[in-house]
Amino acid sequence: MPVKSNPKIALIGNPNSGKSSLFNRLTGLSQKVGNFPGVTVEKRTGSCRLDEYITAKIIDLPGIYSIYARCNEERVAVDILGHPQHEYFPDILVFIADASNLKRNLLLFTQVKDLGVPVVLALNMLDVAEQAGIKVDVEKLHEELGVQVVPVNARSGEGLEDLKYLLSNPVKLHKPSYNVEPLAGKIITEVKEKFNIENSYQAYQFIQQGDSSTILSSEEKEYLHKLKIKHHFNSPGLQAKETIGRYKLINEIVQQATTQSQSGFRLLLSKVDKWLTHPVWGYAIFVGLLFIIFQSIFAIGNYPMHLLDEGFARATHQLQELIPDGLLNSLLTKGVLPALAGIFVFIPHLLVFYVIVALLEESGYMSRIILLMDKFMRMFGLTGRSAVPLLSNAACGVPALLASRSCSNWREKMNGIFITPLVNCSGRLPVYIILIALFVPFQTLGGLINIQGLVLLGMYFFSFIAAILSSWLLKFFTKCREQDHLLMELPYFTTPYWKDIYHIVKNNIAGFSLHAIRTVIPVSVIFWALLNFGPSEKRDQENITTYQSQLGPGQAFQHLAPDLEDSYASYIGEFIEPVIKPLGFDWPIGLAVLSSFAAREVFVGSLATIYSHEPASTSYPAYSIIERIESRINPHTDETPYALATVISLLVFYAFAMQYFNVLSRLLKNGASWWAPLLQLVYMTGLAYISAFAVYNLLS
Amino acid sequence: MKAKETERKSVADLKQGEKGIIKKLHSDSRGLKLLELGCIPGTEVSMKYKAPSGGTLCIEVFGHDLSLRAEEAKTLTLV
Repeated sequence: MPVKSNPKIALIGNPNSGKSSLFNRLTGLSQKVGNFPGVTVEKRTGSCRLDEYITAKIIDLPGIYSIYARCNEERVAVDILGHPQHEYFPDILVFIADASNLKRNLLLFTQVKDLGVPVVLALNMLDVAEQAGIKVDVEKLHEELGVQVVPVNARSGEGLEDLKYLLSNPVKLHKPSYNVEPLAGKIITEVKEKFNIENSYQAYQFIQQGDSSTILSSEEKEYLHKLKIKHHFNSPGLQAKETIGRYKLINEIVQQATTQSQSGFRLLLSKVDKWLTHPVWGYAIFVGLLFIIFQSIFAIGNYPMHLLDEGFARATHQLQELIPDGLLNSLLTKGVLPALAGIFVFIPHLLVFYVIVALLEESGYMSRIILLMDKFMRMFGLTGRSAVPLLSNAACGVPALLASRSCSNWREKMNGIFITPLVNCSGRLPVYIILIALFVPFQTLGGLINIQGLVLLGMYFFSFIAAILSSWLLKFFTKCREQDHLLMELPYFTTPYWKDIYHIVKNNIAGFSLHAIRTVIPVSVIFWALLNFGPSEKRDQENITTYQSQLGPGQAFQHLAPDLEDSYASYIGEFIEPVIKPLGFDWPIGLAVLSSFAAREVFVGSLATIYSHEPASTSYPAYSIIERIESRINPHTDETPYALATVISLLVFYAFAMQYFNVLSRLLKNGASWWAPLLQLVYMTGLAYISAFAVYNLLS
Repeated sequence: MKAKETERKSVADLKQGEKGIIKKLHSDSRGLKLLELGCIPGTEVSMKYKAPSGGTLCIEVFGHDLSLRAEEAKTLTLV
């Protein structure tokens, strides 16, 4: 068979075998990878140049242990590979195998090979295997399996050229490894005739899993169903027989091709694991780790934050002198720039946070957290998996919450409305980090433990407890047949690859910044307008221009101040004051909170815009947002408006408050169930308000 | 002591560090998944960690570590 100029190449393998890393390497795309099973939940495609003439389409399939699907996302593979007429049916299949556990990997390998797809074996994680004392004889493996075997390192990129070379040449089909005919010869023959197919295993898969195929028609499914009854086809029994038979074969192959020796390194890791998953010490280590992470975020982030703040202040000052006085000057130096500065001075904190989380994700520790938390979380109707999104970013793609349960539609809907927004990872931690870095004083207890880190730890547990409590409440109202299983492989700890870490962190920071810029700029323009114009617009206009032409920039603030009280912003502030006062917010905070329904991080930007319109209490770095906040005094009470009670109240509010824009876009997307997002909005805002109110009154 | 020997039947009854050989498992979907993950009759299994109160446990079988719940482990009977 000649090679096409644009062949379809599919990647398949066990979960956590490095498939996504290989996909990223081949396509140059950055799909999320992580050292825990299930990061890829749907198929993804990209393209890869194999040589001068051939550009392949690469399809990444979800990681599975066997061709037999137990849930929807596992069905994708058998649906594609079982039907040569499927649009994604590959010309070549790359099977990526984890060399440190060949036996288990080869089960799926022999299955897909027997389906009659031309396949090559990419042998990954040979370094991990070596650490575990396993030596693989690649030549022998090639002989035993009868397919091309390429050693690769999906993370460093070694062996990739060999793989590409292999893929740019035709791949031969090989005879099946395991014969299914003795299991159900008669019925297979009938199906082969009826559907006009040659491959016995493909026919056998029609019988086993045809009912969930997206290609077969309902008449064909009906036919298969009747056939199964006619032949008394015992599906699970035969599956068990097949698996055991295949493993027998695989055992022989692996014994021929690998040698196992004792590994001191593995023993050491096993000891480490014992502590990490220990029923008492495991939790202690987890909390301790969080403590250290949160401490270091603020300890490291503080100094560069002040540098950035100063830099922004200087830039604003220079810009103000550069541009002629007037509306444009005011818009830039008191509207847009302070708002952007207000957010971007916290990039150092976020950088530390993203690096540490990426390290955790890459190391394999997250799987230990799932194991550790499962028993505890199950008491509240959650699974251990739902602990991960609270910390990890990559896990956003994992349908962590109750996903594998067979629940009634209603329960699922209720979960989606009431629990998901509490457990989801929509950047809650970054927002906490920003608010804490801004409002909580940078002080240490006993010279060692910084208060900011402690507050973040407290907020982490607060949102965690809120999530499990609400899930627990819901358990009372709905009944659900719990059928999920924890059953998962515990991946080995691996040393992180810095390139991967770099990519993860870069994507996170870029994503955060882009999102911030897109929302902060328009909001700050609106805010600036609200602050500078009032109901008696004409007078305001005159005032701005006259004051600014008469006075220097520093003085202009002083004279603008009286007008602030006549601005739209101030009127709106007055209007909402009765609502926000019980939470301990003054009107600038209230306005900023309102604006943050666009996106949480906008809050800081809006606050910075408002404050740059108020009289500066310090002279030179009057443009510095941090100094402004620290030196701010409430005119009524002569106290700082950011007393502890207000700050905690604000944080608690943000633990729950929804983002209207997200809700709105969902409303527009599926208008049919408009009531669900609305209900969610009311519920979450109510929850935010009530808990902030309670916390404020408790503390003040 | 003897009574204890006859009572012990499943992987869930193994103590930390103890080993056993799998005899049988259920042929429901969970059993099939266990089978695919290497819990094949005749395979040696050892208990790596186990919470004293039950709940989750971790076994070493077939060259890898599996974490599972006690009720999942109960379906794996031992020789």
